Parts: sequence; structure tokens; C-alpha cells
Amino acid sequence: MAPGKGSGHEKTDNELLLAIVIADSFDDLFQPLSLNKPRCLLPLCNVPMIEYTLELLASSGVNETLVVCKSHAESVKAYIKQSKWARTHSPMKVKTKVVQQSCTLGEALREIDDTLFISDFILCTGLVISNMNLSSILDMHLANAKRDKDQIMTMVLQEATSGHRITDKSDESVYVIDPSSNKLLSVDSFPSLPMADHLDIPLGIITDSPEVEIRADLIDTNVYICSPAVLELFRDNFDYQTMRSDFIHFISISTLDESTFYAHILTGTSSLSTVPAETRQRSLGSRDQSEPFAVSHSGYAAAVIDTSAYDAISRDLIGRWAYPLCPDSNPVDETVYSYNRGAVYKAEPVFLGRESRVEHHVVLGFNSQVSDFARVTDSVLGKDCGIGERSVVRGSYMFEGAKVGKGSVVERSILGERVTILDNVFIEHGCIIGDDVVIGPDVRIPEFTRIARWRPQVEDSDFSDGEGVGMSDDDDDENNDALSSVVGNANNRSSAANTATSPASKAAVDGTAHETFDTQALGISGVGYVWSNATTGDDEEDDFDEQDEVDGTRTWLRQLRTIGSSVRDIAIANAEISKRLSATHIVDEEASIAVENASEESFEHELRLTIRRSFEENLDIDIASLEINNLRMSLKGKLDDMRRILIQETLRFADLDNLPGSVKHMFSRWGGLIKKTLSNNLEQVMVIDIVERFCALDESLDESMRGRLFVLSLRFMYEFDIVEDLAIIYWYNKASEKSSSGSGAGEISQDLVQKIATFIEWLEESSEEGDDEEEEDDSDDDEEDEDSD
Amino acid sequence: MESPKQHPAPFSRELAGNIEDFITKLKRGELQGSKTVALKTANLMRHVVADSRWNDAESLKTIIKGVGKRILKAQPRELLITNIVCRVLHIVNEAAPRIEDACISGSASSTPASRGTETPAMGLGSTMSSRNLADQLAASLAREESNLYHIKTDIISEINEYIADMESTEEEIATSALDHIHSNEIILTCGRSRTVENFLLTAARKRKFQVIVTECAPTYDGHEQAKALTCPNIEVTVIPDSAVFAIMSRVNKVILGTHAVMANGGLIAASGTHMIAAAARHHSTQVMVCAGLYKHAPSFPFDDDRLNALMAPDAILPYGDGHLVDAVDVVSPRYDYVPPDLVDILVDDNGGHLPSYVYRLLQEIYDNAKDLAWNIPDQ
Repeated sequence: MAPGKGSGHEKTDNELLLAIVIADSFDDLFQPLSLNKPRCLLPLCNVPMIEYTLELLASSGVNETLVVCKSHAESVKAYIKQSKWARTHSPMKVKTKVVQQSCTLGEALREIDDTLFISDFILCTGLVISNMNLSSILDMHLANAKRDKDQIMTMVLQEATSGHRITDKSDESVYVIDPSSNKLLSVDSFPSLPMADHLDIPLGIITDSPEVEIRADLIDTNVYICSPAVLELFRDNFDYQTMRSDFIHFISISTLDESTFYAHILTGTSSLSTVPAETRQRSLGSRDQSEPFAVSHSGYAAAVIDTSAYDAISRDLIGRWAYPLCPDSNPVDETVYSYNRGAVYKAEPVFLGRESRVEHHVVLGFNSQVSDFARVTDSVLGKDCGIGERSVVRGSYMFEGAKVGKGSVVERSILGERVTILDNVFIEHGCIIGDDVVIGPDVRIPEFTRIARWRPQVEDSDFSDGEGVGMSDDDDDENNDALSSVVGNANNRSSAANTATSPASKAAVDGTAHETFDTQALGISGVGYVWSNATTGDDEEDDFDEQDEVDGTRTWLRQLRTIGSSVRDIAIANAEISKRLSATHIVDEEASIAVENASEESFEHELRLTIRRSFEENLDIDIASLEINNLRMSLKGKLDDMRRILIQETLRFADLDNLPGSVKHMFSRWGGLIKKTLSNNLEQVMVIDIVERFCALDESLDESMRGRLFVLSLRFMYEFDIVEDLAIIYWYNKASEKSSSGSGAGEISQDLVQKIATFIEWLEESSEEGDDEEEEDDSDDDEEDEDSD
Repeated sequence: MESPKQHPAPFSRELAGNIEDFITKLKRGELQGSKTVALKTANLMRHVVADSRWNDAESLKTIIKGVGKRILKAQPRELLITNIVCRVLHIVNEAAPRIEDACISGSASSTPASRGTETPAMGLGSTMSSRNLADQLAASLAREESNLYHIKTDIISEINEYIADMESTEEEIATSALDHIHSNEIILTCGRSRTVENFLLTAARKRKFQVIVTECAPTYDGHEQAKALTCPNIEVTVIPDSAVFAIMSRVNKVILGTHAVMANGGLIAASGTHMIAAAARHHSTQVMVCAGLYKHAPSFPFDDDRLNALMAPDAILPYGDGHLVDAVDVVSPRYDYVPPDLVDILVDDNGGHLPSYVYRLLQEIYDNAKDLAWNIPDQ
């Protein structure tokens, strides 16, 4: 018995249709919910998410599916083993593959044995919830392959206007499509914050196609129909980490790679019309013989990429947008939901208080309870959930066994398994509360808080991204340790403390005396820790730089992907970020104004710091020169100033206790830097001027030192070819002239001029003799003695 | 759901796969249209009768009820499943006395044999008699089996007959078309119905008349129906649903198809039907409903929300329109419940009935309440 509606393929019977499901997301957006369970087994409308994806593939006639998992691989395996897919008459075989070492999609794909995938296959890079008929899209893909030998992929996109709840609010994607052939010409995606002001589209794309559509209203459904070449390309190129922004983006704009992509755009959501299937086929067949099959452009598809998408997809399922995929279609056999007016789905028995108000769009799990005067709207209650009297739960998701006490409010949040919210607690929107946490009584949890039973993982682990759903085994163990320690505590201690808190997490409660929970934030009986968004936010996405950190862009982007965020948040975030940016801009502007007024000051200061740093870090001369020049360019400093400062700093760095040695060292090491600033003899003379000024005026120098430093500087500058003898003699003559005439007496220190008299004499001699230099070099100490006299 | 292991009668692998496949198809909504569902269910039931192990009527009924429950759990709103399962139970009930006979005759003949086997070691010389006993036993078992086999084939042929009836029901109903449709009448119909199509086309062989089809948004099945009705003697006009009341004054007769007929004579029919029936009542226009016998459901419509299927609202409000999708709650029901007082006549395989007669009809086609209660979910 091999059922499945995929029989309509133009495939030979012995050819199997295969699919890959990447069940891991390699990020941490579901933390701390995904601490104990992999994301794919978290419930969406009380059904493990992976079930929807497998159902999609099975209904499309896939014969074999490979589920690639990383975090909690064992529990994924165990789940699949006991699921209906493992039964003997299951139409689709499901295998699992563990990729423990992979941190990105690309790495995971590289680990897949591509010998299995010899024909075109379906790739779902995440948990896809969809009712579309993939087999018809596959047929289209195969037909395209006949026309276009370079086709490697058909990407399934869903149409939705910007601001739609299903869109990824942190990401803007622009698709360039040739509407006549549905060829995907280019894909560009960039973070929505800060708002991008331009878009790069290679000119060739526009000039080569007679017609292009540039669309920003499409959503990646994470379903790709791939040719085997895709795996090869991933294997060959280690840069490809993500599907859309790496793989498709680079290959589609690459001029070397001729591979082409096609887009299949879903315009509606309903995969079924009420017309019986035979009629539809018959009428379509008679109408259009040229096209051998009818490609359906309707279908719902979306991937649970973050908690915001989780929220949107849950609402879509409850609102029946994905019909026949809705809570009462009971994808897993265990649940039996029935539809009631106002989109209230109940799995009897459900206990509703006489005065309770279960309004609209609610899923009430098996054995759940809503007490008197409680209100529930737009929410999903798992098995055994309870809502106490006068409490309000709006737009929230309560996993199995979660309880809300009396008089509490939960707004647009996710409560993990067995979470207990005590009385009079207000949980603002966007909170994600991990399993077994107890909150309350009488506290207010601010918006977008993450609370877990355990402290966040320390970040020194190799898998900093492993915090994500893609948690590594190591992290798992740490968790288990944490758990066992808690349990251990419970065994050791008497349970006197706080026994009233929560019977559900007894061990945890007993542990409170030992562990210090964030009771200030979580209330007196609170069990758990508040995770700051910053600490959980470290992942492999290194395209965020420090500037982003300063602006808070990253935190904002993360928040936009969290349940409870709204389109308005983008605007708010943008305003906020531009405010912060403009704040820094104001500083910059002030600086530039200051530069106008007292340009030297800021430039000097910066330059001095840079030079000092170069000296201290002992940079290469070329690098140091580059840095200094860059600084000068950016601050529009003058070359003369720069030279002055450079020389001053060089001299300042000389060790006064060991003057000759250090001066020699400074000029031999950094002379090149000064030399780079000189272009003619006149400037050499200016250098001497500067040195003279420094020696004459610098306050850090003793009177005795001044002359010595000047002489030594001149000497080594001469020795290391920074200044030529002619320049020195020229300067000397001019200086003595001035001093004798008395006009420039105030400018040039006569002491210094006199000090170098002997040096000049020697210089004049040596310039005549020319050979004596070597000897002079060797007799350093003599010279020094001579000078110090 | 009970796993196949716990099931009272383990099915053959093929049958188990068949059931499983049927359930999956129901859940995926691949089975559309009342007749398709009815035929598939009947075929499955035939397979269950043929392929499962049972030796009396009760055990067979338990098996059928068990399978029925499983299927119904997959698609609790599908009335046709209940109808077919009840009908098959009825067929088994009719065959029950014969099954009892077969069993009694079998056990009667096997009683001495079993007695004999209790004392097998009477003596060494009893090899002869023991062989006799063994022969007897085998013979009686064979007889019992052959009896059961005959009954099984009987039941299966009954089900086959039922299936054949179902397949030909449209033609059967159409035979009375000339009694109801007269020349130059203006007839209004709605949505896509094979039964109505057959009915009208049969009448059109002899008579010329005009048909107005409402387009039946958002599925626009009316367009299909209009296309199907194209023939020289019928002048077809498609009108929007909103024009029904305006045009009703000119209509002589409303002929409707339906998904199911409830025990009180009310209809579960394509959405838009209620409006047409109400408009017809206002204008005192006759409302005629064509429905095969298999569409008669043995239950009363206590909660018509639960009997309805809600489709994706996409056809009414495009999903892409993000702001509206968030703000508006759209319901797109597939069916309307039409109360019996708006229906004037029900035409089935045997001719016309009044809605008030339906309860009587049900007693003929199905059995007593005891067997009908199987589909009430246990709490």
C-alpha cells in the first residue's frame, strides 16, 4: 500500500522522491524554551512542530525524509521512533542525521552524504508549516529543468505585504524576478535596522532581462526544491552559511556561476477548492492542453524562524488560513479538537467556569481549565493548563501544565511547560518563560523579559551559539548537572522553605534555600533567573559590530523577532536608533566645529595619542605612518603640525636618564616616520627649528638637559639621514646671524646655538673630509663627554 | 487512538494500511464531495468485512463500529461517514440471523466433537475413533467456515449493491425530473451539484427551460455548474449571490443540491443555500432538494456549528493584506444549515418526500437507536 497524492509526477516509479529537513535553526531565538527540548518538538497549537513539516512532505508524495538535527538529537530521534512515521505502513520513511559539529546551515548541509541525493529533492531549512501541494511545484521545477539546464533550485515564496505579521521584522529582503519565466535574478537581504537607504542590484541583471520585477513583498518559506548540484555547491564553497543571504545571493549575482534559481510564488493560502478533485482536473485538462499540469499558486507556507513567527503562524492556524491545516484537523492522532464558534477549539474534557470568558481564537488543550471571571483570548492552552480566577490571558501560549494563578495578567508571552504564575502577577508582552519557572506573587515582569529555571550558560563554552536551539551536547550536560545539583539539594535539605510555592516543581522549590533565585524580579516565591537579552544575544552573527552594540541595534533586531513585537516597533526602534546615532553625530559635529576653531587642539591630541600608541605598541613604521596620515586626513590637520607633533613626541619619549642611548634608539627606530614627512631641505631646517623649540621650551627638561638633548638629537638626526649636514649648517649660520644681530634673540635660545658649535665645527670638517664619520660613530662616549661639558 | 495492537481484531497489513491511508486523506482534506467520501467509506467498509476475523454478528459489528469511530475521529464533521457506517451496520443486522444460524449449526455439530476431544485417551484401540473425531471436527469447522464464508460474501454483495445504488443514484433521481420540471419554467439553482446537473439535463432532453445559477462565492462553483448545464434546451444565466432576492420573483422553482439531509429534514448544503431558501419562502417559490438516500444522516442538528466546515478565509480576504489580516476575523463557512421548514420537497431515488417524512425514511434505511449510538464519543 503506497498511498500519497504525489503519483502525478512525471517521475519513474523506481525513482524515490527525497527530502531533507533541517530541524535545527542554529540560533537561540527560542531560548529558554528550547533548553529542555529541541525547537522542533515544541508544540505549535499543541502539536510538535516537526509533525507539520513531515506531514507536508508526506502529503506531497515524498518517499523518504532525512531529518537533520543537532540540539537534543536523541530526543528528536526518540520522538520520530515512536511517531506514526515509524509505523510499518507509513507512506514515508523518516531517517535522522545528527550533525553535532555544525553551527550553521551550510555546515550541516556539508555533512550530508550527497550520494543519496542523486535526483532533485526537497529541502526545508527549518520548521515549515504549510498546506501547499509540493508535488505540483516539483513538476514545475522539473519542467523548468528541461528548458534551463542551469537551474539548480526553485524557491517557494509567499506573498505578503510589508508589515504582515508573518514577515520577519528584523530582515528586509528584496527579490528581483523575471516575471515571464519566474526566474529569480537576485536576492538581497539586510537587517531592517537601521533602515537601509539604498539597494544594490547588479546592472547586468537589469540590462539582460527584458522585464524585471523588484519585489519586497515576498517571504522566504524556507522550502527549496533543489537539484543535487546544490549540495555540491555547498560542499565546494565554505563561505556559504545561510541559504538566502549567502548561497542564493552570491550565486545569483556571480558572473562566474551560471546556475539559475526560480521562484514559485504562493499568492493565496487555501490549497483546496471545494470543487472535487476530479472535476478540477478534468476542466483544467480540457481547457489547456498545452500545459500538461496545473501549477497551483495557492497554498500557505511559513517557517517558524523565531517566536514572532511562532505567534503569527499559530494565529494563522487558528484563523484557518492554512486550511486544511488547523487545530481541528488533528495532525497527530492523540489530539481530538473540535471547532466551536469564534474559533475556539476544545479537546474535551475542558473545564470552563460558569463566569469564565473564553472569547475568540483560543485552543483549549485536553484537561485544561479556565476558572470563573477569567478571560482568555487569542491564546493556546496546552494539556492540563489552568487559569485562575479573575486572570486575563491574551495572545499567549501556555505549554503543557502551565498554570496562571488568581488575578494575574499574561500578555502576548510564551509560558513553558509547568510554568507557574502565582497570584497578582502582571506579565507584559514579549516575555518568554522557560520550563518549571515560578513567578510571583505580586510582581510585574517588564516587557521582553526572558526567564529560565537556570542561569544563562557561561559564554566561555566553545559553542557560544550553542546557547541556541542548536545546543551542543556539552551544554546539555551542563544543564543536566544544574538539574541534578538542584535535585541533590532537594534531597539534602528539608523542604521547610516555601513549600507552598509550587507542587509542580517541588525539587526546584526545595532548592530555593540553597540557590538564590532572582526573587527581587520574580517575587518572593519566584524560582528562576532573569536572562538579560544582551547575554543571550551572543551568537555567530559577527556582522554586528560594536557600533551596533552601542546603538542597541542588535537588541532591537532581536526584540523584533520576539513574540509580542509589532510593526510599530520597527518605527520605534528606528526612531530610537536614529536618536542615538544623531546623539553621536552631534558629538561629531561639535568636534568638527571645534576643529574649525581650535583644530590644532583636537588634532594634536588625537595625533599625540596615536603616536604614543604606535611607540608603545612598537608598530611597523609603514603601519604607523598610515595611521597617522589617515588621522591627519580625517581631521584635516596640517602637515607642518603633524611633523611638529611627531618630532616632539619622539623627543619626549627619550629616556632622560640614558639620553644618548635612548635618543639614538628613538631616531633609529622612528626616524623613518619623520623622514616620511619631509620633502625638501627647507623642511629639514624646519625640523631643526622644531627640535630647538622643544629643547628650549619643554617643561619636562632640566636646564642641563636642554643642550645635551639638542646636540644629541641633531647628531642622530644627521646620522640617520633625517636632516642633511647642509641643513644643519644653514640653520646654525642663520641662528648665529640672528643672535649676533640680536633681532631674533627671543626666538632662538643662544645657549643651544652655542652648544652645537663644536658639533657644527666637526660637521664642517667631516663634510670636507667625509670619511671621519665611521670613527666618530664608534666614539660615542667621548663625544658625549665632550658635549656635556 | 488505539494503536492497531490494542484493536479487538487485528487487521491484515493491507487493511490496516488502507484504514490509515483513508484517515490521512480525510485529515488532509483530500476527499472532497459527499459522494466521493461516501463511496470511499463504503469501499473501506467492504474491505473491513471481507478482511477481518469474526464469527458472529456482534463481533463483526464491534469491528465495524471500531473502524467507524477511528475514521470519524479523523473528520468528526463528515456526516457521510456516519451514514455509510450505519448503513453497513444495518446490512449486517439483516444478515445477523443467518450468521447466528451458521454459528449454531456449527457449534451443534462441533459439540460432540469437542466432547470427544475431552476424552481422547479412551484406549489404545481408539485410534480409529479419534481419527473419526478429527475428521468430524475438521468437517464441522469447514462447514462453519463455509457457512460464514457464504454469509460474508452475502454481506459483501449487499454492500456492493449499496455502492452500485450510490453510483447510480443521480440517474435514479433524474428519472422523476419530468414530473417536476415543465417547459419554459425558470429554475434557480446554486453551486455545484452533480445530482442537480443530471436532474436538469434529463429534463432538458424533452423540455426547454431556463436555469439561473448563483455563482456561489467564494468558491464560484456556480460557474462550473453553469458550464456543465450547457445544452441546447437550457438557457443558463449566472448571477451573483447578491441578486438572488431580486430575481426570485421571476423564478418558478428552486432546485437545490445538498451535502447531507439531517434527521429533521433540514439540509447541510453549500453556503448561500439558506439565503436562497429564505428568499424563496418569502416569494412562496417552491424549493425542491435532490439528494440521494445515502445523504440522509440519522442525527439531528443540535449544534450546527459543529456540522460546518470552515475554509480558509483567503478567498474572501487575501492573506497578503497584512494590516487587515491582523485586524479582521474572517469566517468562511462551507455549508449552510437550512431548516426543514424552508424545504418543500425532497427528491430521492424513490421519488419525492416531505421533510417531515424523513424520520420515517431513516427507520427504513438504518436501524434502531442502539446501533446508531456508536458514534457518540465516549467521555
